[in-house]
This record gives sequence, C-alpha cells and structure tokens, in this order.
Amino acid sequence: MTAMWVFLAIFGEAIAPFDPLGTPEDVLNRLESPSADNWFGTDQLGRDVFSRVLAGARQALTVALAATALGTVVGTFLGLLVGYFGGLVDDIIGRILDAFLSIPLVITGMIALTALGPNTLGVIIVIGLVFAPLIAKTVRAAVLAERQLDYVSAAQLRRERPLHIMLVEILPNVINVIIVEFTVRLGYAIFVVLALSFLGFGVEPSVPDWGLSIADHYQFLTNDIWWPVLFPAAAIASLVVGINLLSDAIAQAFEQ
Amino acid sequence: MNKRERQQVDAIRRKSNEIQNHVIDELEAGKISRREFIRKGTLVGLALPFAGIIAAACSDDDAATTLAGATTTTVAGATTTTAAGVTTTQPAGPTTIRVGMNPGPAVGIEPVLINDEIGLAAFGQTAQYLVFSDAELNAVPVLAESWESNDAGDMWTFFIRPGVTFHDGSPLTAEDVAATFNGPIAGGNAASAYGTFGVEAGSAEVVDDLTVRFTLSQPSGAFPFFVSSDNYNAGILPKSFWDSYTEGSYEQSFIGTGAWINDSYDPGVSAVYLKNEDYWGDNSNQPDRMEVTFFANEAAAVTAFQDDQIDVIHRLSASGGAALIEDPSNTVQSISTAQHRQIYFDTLTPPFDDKRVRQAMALMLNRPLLIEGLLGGFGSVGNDHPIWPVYPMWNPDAVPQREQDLAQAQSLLDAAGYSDGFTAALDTLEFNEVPDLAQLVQSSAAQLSNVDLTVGVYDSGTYYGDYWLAAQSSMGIVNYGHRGVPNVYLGAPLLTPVEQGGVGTWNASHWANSDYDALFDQFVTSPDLETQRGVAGQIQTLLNDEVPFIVPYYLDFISVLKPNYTGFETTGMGHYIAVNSGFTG
Repeated sequence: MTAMWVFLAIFGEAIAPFDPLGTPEDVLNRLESPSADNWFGTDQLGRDVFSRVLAGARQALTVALAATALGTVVGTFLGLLVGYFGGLVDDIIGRILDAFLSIPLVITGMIALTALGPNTLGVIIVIGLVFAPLIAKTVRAAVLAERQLDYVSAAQLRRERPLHIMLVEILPNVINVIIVEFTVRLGYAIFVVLALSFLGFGVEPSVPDWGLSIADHYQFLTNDIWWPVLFPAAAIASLVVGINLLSDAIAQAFEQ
Repeated sequence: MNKRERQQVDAIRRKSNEIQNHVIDELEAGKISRREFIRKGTLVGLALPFAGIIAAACSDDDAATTLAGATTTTVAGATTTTAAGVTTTQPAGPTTIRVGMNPGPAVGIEPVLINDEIGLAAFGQTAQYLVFSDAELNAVPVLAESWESNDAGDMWTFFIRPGVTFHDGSPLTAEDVAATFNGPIAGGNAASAYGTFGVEAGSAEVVDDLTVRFTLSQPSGAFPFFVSSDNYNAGILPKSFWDSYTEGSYEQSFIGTGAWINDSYDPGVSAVYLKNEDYWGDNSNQPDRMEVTFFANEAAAVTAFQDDQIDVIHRLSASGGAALIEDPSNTVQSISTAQHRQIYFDTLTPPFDDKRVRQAMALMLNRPLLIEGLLGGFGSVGNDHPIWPVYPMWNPDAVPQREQDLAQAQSLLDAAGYSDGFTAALDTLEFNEVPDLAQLVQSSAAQLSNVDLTVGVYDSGTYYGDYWLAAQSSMGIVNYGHRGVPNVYLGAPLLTPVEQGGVGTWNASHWANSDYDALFDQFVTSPDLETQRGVAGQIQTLLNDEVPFIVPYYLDFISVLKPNYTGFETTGMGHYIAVNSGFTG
C-alpha cells in the first residue's frame, strides 16, 4: 500500500488523466458525480477528483517526509545532547522540551503558521520543530542506556571530543530506534499536515491537497455530494494505515 | 399630453425649483424614462403624487419601462418572484415567521460600527432611516415624509413624518434626527458606510420640531441616498440614546421606530422580535413574531431549511445554496445588485505599474464563464469600472464591453516586456465564492506565457488587517456591497490614496490620477442626470483603460423561501422587510 502511494507520489501527475490544477472552463462541470470520464467525479471548480487524488500523494508524502526528516535530525541531535551530558543540561533542556510538548500539537502548528503564513515551507518547518522534542525524548532514553556502556567510557578515556562520541560512537548504536521513530512520526506527520490544510493553515487553495479538498467540500455532504470528500479521505486512511504497518514491520525486524 | 395635463404640469413646474424643473425637462425631452423620472424626481424632492401626474402626462412613450434592479426568472422550475413586486399574503391568525441568516452580525448590532450585511439587516428591523433605498434604486420616504433642496443642491431640507414614536413611546422629532447625524456615527469610523458617504458632522440643523436642514460643503444631487438605508449606520435613534451612548449600548434597548420590537437577543445565535402594535405605518398584516437564527455557515442554514426549522434564508450564495435553488419546490427570489468583486493591482510596483499588464489580466478573463460557473448564472458582467449598468447615470455608449482575448492579452504582455511572464501574489479573503474566483483568475493567468500567480486566502480579519491596503500584495480581491448610487465605489477606492496626499481611504491599488479626481468632483456635483451621465461616460472610459482593478461581474442577491411563505422583500444592500410577509394555505 505504501509502495503504491510512493509510486503515485512520483508518477501520479504524469499518469493522471486530467490536469490536476484544471482549466477555467472546467468550472462549467462543477460537482459532477463519478462517471466513465471522471472516475471520482469533479470538485466545485469542475476539476477531476481522481487526478487530484493521484497528484495529492506527492503533496502529502513530500511535506510529511520533509517535516519528519527535519524533526528527526533536530530531535536526534537534542536527544544525543541531553542523553550524553545529563545533569544540568538534561534538566534545563528536558524541562523546556516538556513545556513545549504540553501544548497540543495542532494548536502549536496553527499559531506558528498564523505567524509564518500558509506556505509549504512553513508547514515543513513547523511540523519538524514540533516533532523534534518527541523524537528527542525517545533518543534521549536510548542514549542514557548507551552512555553507561564500556565503549563510551573507552572513547572518553581516549579524550575524544563529546561531539565525536555522540555522532560516531553512540549514534550508530541508536540508529534502529531513530528509524522506527521516524516511521512512526511519518504517519503522524501525514495526519498533521492534512489536518492543518483542512483547517486552512496549509497550502494555497489550488494545490491538490487531500485535507484541503475535504475542507472545501464537506459542506456539500448534506446535498449528497460525497465524492470530493470520500476519495481524498480514503486516500489519507490508506496511506496512514500503510505507513503504520510499515513501521510495525520495521520495528519487528529490528527486534529480531 | 392634452391641455388639462399641460396645465397640471405647468402648475407643478411653478412650485418646483430649478433642479426639479430640470428633471421634468429631461422627461419631456425623452432623455430619461418615466421610471428614471420617478426615481430622480423623488430624489430631488418632487412629491410622489406630483411626479406621478407628470409621468402619466408624458406616458405616450416608454410605457413598457422595465424594472431595474429586480428580476423575474424561473430557475430550474422554481418560481422566482420579484423583490419589488411581491404579492403580500394575509396571514391567518397569530403567526411566527422564522428567518435564517449566516453568519451572525460581525460586530454585533452596533449602529456606529456595523459594516456587514447581517448586522445592518438586523439593525434595520428595529431602527429606520429617513429614506429607504429600495431594490429598484428608488429613494422611498420613510421617517422623512418629503424633502427638497435649494437650487444649488447644497442645502437639503427634510420634513419629518409626524406621529412617529419610538418603541418607548417618545415622539420622533428633528432633535433626534440631528442628534443621529451629528453624533457618534459621525466620529470617523472609516470602515462603516457613514465614513464613506461623508455626511459632515454638524451639518444637520434643527429648523423646527419636524424639519431638519443639511448644509453641504459641495452640491450633491444624490444627497437623499446619503441619509438613506444605503448609509446603513444612519438609523434614526432618540437623542437621549445618543446622549448616553457607549459602544454596545444599543443591544441593551434595541430602541427605534421600526415595525419590530426586540424581545430577546443571544449574540451570534438568535434574536426574537414582536410586532410593534404602535407602529406608525400600516402593519395590519404583520406577523406577530419573528424568530431570527444566525448560522455559523451557509451549510448549517441550508440544513436547517431542509429540516423545516426556518421559513426563509435571507441570503444564499449560488454555490453553497445550489441544493435549495435547484429544488423546484422552493421559491427563489433574486434581485440584481451593484455588489461586485474588485480584482485590484498594486499599481506602484512591477509588473502592474504598467497598465498594459493590467489590461492583459482583464482580457484573460472569460466573464460569462465566471458568472455561469461561480454564480450559477445569478449575476451580470462587469466592465472594469464600478458604474453598474442599472444605474441611471451609466453611459451605454462610453466603452464597449471587454471580452476575453488571450492573443491580445499576450501581445500586451510582450509589448510591456513580460513575454517571459512573471510571478505575483494574489491575496484575498474567505468569503462566498471569492476563493474560487481567485483560483479561476490563477488558472486563467496560467493560459498566458509563464504568468504564475500564488493565491493566498485568509480570514477576513487577517485579510483586511494585513493585506487589503498594505503594499505586500501584488493583486487582491475585495468585496463591495450594493449601493443605490455609485459614489462610494467611485470615491474611497479610486481617489488619490491617503498616503499620497489624497482622500482615497480604500484605495487598495494605490492608483492616483488627477484627471480622475477632477472627474469625480464633477460627477458628484453634476446638477442633472444628463450631465452626470456624460461625466460617468468619461469615468467608465478612463477606468476601463487604466484598469486599477477588474470588475468581473455584479452579483444577484438570492433568497430562498418555503413555498407557502411569501412577501419577504430584500434589497441589494442586505436589508430585508418581513412586515408584510406571511403564509398561504
């Protein structure tokens, strides 16, 4: 399932039967139900929903991947830092991270995006930075266990610099934890990315975005116009389930 | 015209001033229609019976004058009644009518601050105006029984209707009128209608108990509209109210002279009104009770209508209300209005500092397609100036309708040095079909060579606060509500902007043109319709050529009623009158 969406993220726009961005003339075919021409029907500007669902995979996966990668890099570094040094560093940075985590994730994202303005780069940065403390705590726990081991003490005796010990000695030994954390966070990131765009804090209106599509069309559900909502929602569900299954598989593989 | 009619007209002419006689001249010369004469004549203070006599005497021509402003159409089988010609129905016994509106009043029901359609409609149930600007652009006497101007048109006298009382039983006097116009609403809230109509503070003077005189700093032939419901902040309230006014105090009393007395109000949720038994007008058919529900969004209002929780939705968009509009069992009322969207350009910075680029953007739009696709056909094309073709002063010969021409648009871009295209930001607000319009402008621009627009859509607070008049948007789309005369459209958004030393407080395009400023002065001081139409023609031509903003279309005002509910009238501005509404069957 995940492989299918990755494939569509790369080739979806190329194989889409219509231009996902549509043309001005499309508006005359607005909200048409699924048919042989438009398998998933058309949206309120007459654009082909099937083409926009295919093209939306790239938007969802690109933004979520970039945001999760950013969060993982920053979170890993913070986790290594507080886990390795412990003591006062752990107390200060740890409490700051705790305070940050006490604010609901979507609320934090909305406030930050209100300040930054709704754009893709802003979404990536905001979600990345919001995820960083979560990942940092996981990495910290793994580093705390590692720093007690002899190879770390040996490196310290060799008078290697702390940065070198963290990145060269400890990091390779906690990489499994980081990879599992990355895949878990990726599933969450997709949800957050699409929740923010649903709430109007994500991408610009014409971009084929699943969350935005649901937000733009859920008002029509009472009029039995379900297709511009159902198909993007099904796409979100299948991608998130796919990534979660992948995450479980990776975790099991590392455990073995 | 027979001899007797000639004598009647001559007698009326002798009692009329120079401006009134000029309007009669225009009718007799065939320069204006009977309908325009009635409108213009009452506007300059000709009593309606006199105007009727003159119009009847000149009735040989123009017998088939069509209604302007109101339309009668059939939409997908649904009966559409005229807003102006609604047939009222006698309600049987005590009745309650249920009105749905969306959203709630933006700034509450606050006479000084109101600047939205819902707020003004709610205010208009309890408060009334000197003059009502109706759906056909007539200035209808309400609390002013009649009015007249001096020959110069810079002094207007309004004669207050005797026998009118406020809801607390106190009589309406000229003191109340003067206190209204000279009081807090004249305090400079630029966002309100009052701020743009520019009725000068202190200009209202009490002549006697029932006479008020306004002295203007410059002549105006349309002044009755300045004190009408178009100037929606100017509901007449008691002097005692204004003497102790504080922001929000109106919601403590809801006092006014209107046919409805407020019984309860839950801000943003609902309001209940009861029939005013002491109303000055004929309200014998008025329902006993009116329940108004404010819905958070259009979808909620549509669902409530379908669930039979309300009898009418005051206003619907064509897209959001499609399910109700297309249901043949509902009654759909639509009236043409001057409400329009302005797609403005930052004329100070590239690429839109070159008018050829602005012209290219205007040429790329397929306007009939926008009306059909975005408005479901409930609209009419615009021609990149805000003088609505239904206005009497609109000049049909000034400039041809702009049509889509992509080849010409591209050649204009090439000539302006943008053959390789450009990128620009188009920022607008979340309001009805406006985000969709922005996307269609974007996809239309994409048909030109490498023209890439980035669309930003914001809530109204963010948009008006950070983008509208700020210099950070290359393009934007803003909404302008209906007005009985185009003075507001031609003033604040187009006169030389404040930051450049002018008085254009709403000039989002930052466009400054001294020729235009001079034409505007001529327009507002034109003594007669023919002169004004000539100036309007020059304005239409200039704006169509300069394109500080695109006017893609004018929108109809759509209401949907239950099939057994009739007599609900609206205006393009958003006011509604339910006094004579009721149920059949």
